[in-house]
Amino acid sequence: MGSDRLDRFIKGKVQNHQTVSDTDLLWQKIQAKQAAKKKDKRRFFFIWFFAGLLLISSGLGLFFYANGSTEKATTLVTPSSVNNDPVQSPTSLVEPVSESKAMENNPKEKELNLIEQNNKIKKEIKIKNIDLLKEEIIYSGSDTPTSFDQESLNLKESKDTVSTNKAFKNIIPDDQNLAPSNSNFTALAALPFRIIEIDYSNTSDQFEKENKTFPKLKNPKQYNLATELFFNYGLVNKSLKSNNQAYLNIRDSLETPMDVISAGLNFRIQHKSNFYLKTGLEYQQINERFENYTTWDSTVIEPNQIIEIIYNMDGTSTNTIGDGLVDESYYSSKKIYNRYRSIELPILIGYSSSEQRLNWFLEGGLALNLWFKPGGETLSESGHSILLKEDQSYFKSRTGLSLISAIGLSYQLNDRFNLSAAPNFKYQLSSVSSGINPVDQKYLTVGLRMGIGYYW
Amino acid sequence: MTEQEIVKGCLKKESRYQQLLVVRYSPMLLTVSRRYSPQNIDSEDVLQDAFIKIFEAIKQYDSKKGNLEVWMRKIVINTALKKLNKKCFTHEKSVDQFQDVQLEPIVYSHLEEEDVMALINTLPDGYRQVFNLNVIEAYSHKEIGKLLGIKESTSRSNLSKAKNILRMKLNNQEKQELWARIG
Repeated sequence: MGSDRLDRFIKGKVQNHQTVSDTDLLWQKIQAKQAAKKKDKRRFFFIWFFAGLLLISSGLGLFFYANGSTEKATTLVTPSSVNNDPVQSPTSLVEPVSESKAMENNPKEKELNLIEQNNKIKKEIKIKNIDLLKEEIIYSGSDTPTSFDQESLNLKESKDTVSTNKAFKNIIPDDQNLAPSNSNFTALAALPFRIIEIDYSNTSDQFEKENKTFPKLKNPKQYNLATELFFNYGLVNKSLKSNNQAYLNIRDSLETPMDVISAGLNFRIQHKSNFYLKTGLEYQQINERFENYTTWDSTVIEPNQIIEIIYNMDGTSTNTIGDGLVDESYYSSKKIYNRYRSIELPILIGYSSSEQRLNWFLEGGLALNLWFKPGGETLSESGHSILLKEDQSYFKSRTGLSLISAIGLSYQLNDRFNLSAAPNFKYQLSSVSSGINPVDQKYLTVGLRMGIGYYW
Repeated sequence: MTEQEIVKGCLKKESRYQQLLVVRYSPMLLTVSRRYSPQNIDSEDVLQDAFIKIFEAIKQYDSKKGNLEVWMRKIVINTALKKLNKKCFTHEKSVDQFQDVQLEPIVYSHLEEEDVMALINTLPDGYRQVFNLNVIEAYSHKEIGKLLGIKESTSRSNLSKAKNILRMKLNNQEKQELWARIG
C-alpha cells in the first residue's frame, strides 16, 4: 500500500537523522540551567529548613507552656476538689471537715473543738522555710483577703498555706464566728477547714516543683548581667553579582555553599522591664565546595596507526601502517573545600518574657565584622585557579556589617542557669569581595543557635 | 571512550562525562526534540531540559533493559510531550475535510532528510505527535493513548488525519514543481 511505503520512507529518512548544532553552546546552556536548578533547590531547602526550625520551636514552646499551665492549675485547691476529696495528702493544702449536727447546734462545743484542732495542728506543723511560705499562700476565693500577716492569722509559731472559699464561709453563719476581735482570723478560724500538716523539711523541693514556680534570680536588681556560651549550625545561601555574566555562571556552577558553623560568648544586660542588650564575640566559618575542571590537549605519537591509504585503480586500497600523531584531550577535576572564617562583634537589642520557666525571646541587631579570612581556591576571570591563602586581594579583610535576628526559647534550669534554642538569620549588608574581584559575593545564613546562659 | 565509561562518569556526576554525552548524542536527540517539540517552543530548550533530566535519572538506566540511545530518546520525547498543550488533540480540524490521497513513490522519493523533517513539522501539534510516535517510534495506539492521555480512537483518528495532510502536501508540492518545470 502507498501509505505503508510512505511511512517506511519517512521513518527511514528521519529516524537516524542528525541535526547539526553547536554542542559547546548547548553544553554551556545546560550547565547554566543546572546551576540555576541547583540554586532553586538550595533556596527551597533553605526556606523549608528555616520554616521547620520555627515550627519545631513553636511546637515545643506551646507544649511546655501548656504543660506548665496544667500542672500549675492542679495545685490550686478548688471547692469541688476539696469537697470531693477530703483525703489528706502532703500536698493538699486544706481540707473541709464534716461537722456533726451536734456541733452545729452548740457553738461553745464547736469553739472548743476548733481550738483543740488548732492546737493539735500547731504541734504537728514543722515549718522551716518561712519566707517561701509567705509567698506561696494561695487564695482560691474571689472575696478573700489580699494579704495576711502573721499576727492577724494568729498562728504564732507557724505559717500555713491557706485556702479560703466563699462557699465554705457560707456554711457558718456570721453570728457563729468565734473571734470577732480579728476579722481575718475569724475568717480563718470560723471556717470548717482543717489545716493539715506539711513537713517542709522533706517536701520543699517537691512543693516548689509542683507549683512550677519560676526560679527567680537570687538577687534581682534593676539590671541583671548574664553570660551565654553558644553554638550555631545552619545553611548558607550565597548571592553573586557581576557585570560579566559568563564568568558569573562559571563561578556559580563551580562553587556550592554548604553550611555555616559558629560559636561564641555573649554578655547580656537585662533591665527589669525584660528588655536587654547583648554583645560579645562570635567566630564563624562558612564552608563551601569548589570544583574546578581543567582540560588540555596534547599530541602524542602512537605506533601502528594508518598513516596513508592508497586507492588502487581496481577499487582496492592499500594502507600504510606506521607511527602516527594522535590528538588527545586530557581532563582533570579537583574538589576543594573553601572556608570563609570571620570574627564578629554582635550588638543586639531584645525582649524576653520572664514569667515562666520556659520563656520566649526576640532579638535583632547588627554584627560588626572584625576579621575575615578566606581559605581555599577560586577562579579568576581568565580561568586560572587562585589560591586564596596566597592571594588575599580578592576579598576584604573586614567585611562590614551584617543584619542579625533571632527568635527563640529559653528554659530556666535553676536560679542561675538557662538553656536556649533560637532559629536565627544573618544577612551580610556589604559584599565580602574586594575591588579587584569581578564578582560581588554576599552570604545569607540561617541556623539554629543553642546556648547555655548564666546569671551573675 | 565507550558508552559504558560515559555512563559511569555521569553516574559520578562528573562534568566532563556529562559534556561528552551531550557532544555525542545531541545531534540525534535534537532531531527527536525537533519532531516532538510544540511549535511555539524552542526544540533546543526542550533538549537542554531533557539532558538535565538524563543526568539526574542516569542511575535508573539499566543497560540490560535497552541501549542508552533508546532510553535517552524516550526522555526527550517525554520532556517535549510535557510541554504540549493537551487541547491540541481536541481542536484540530475534522478528518472529513481531507480526502484520501494515494501517492506514488516517485512523488516523494527525491526528498532529502531535512525536507522530510520540515514536512513533518508543518503538521499541527496533535497530529504530529501521534504520527511520530506511531510511524517513527512504532508505539501502538494504546501506548500513545496512555502517553498523551487521549483515547485510542483519538490517536487513530489523528494518525489518519496526519497522513492525509502529508499526502496532500506532497501532492501539492509535486504539482507546484511540475508547473514550475512547464512554466
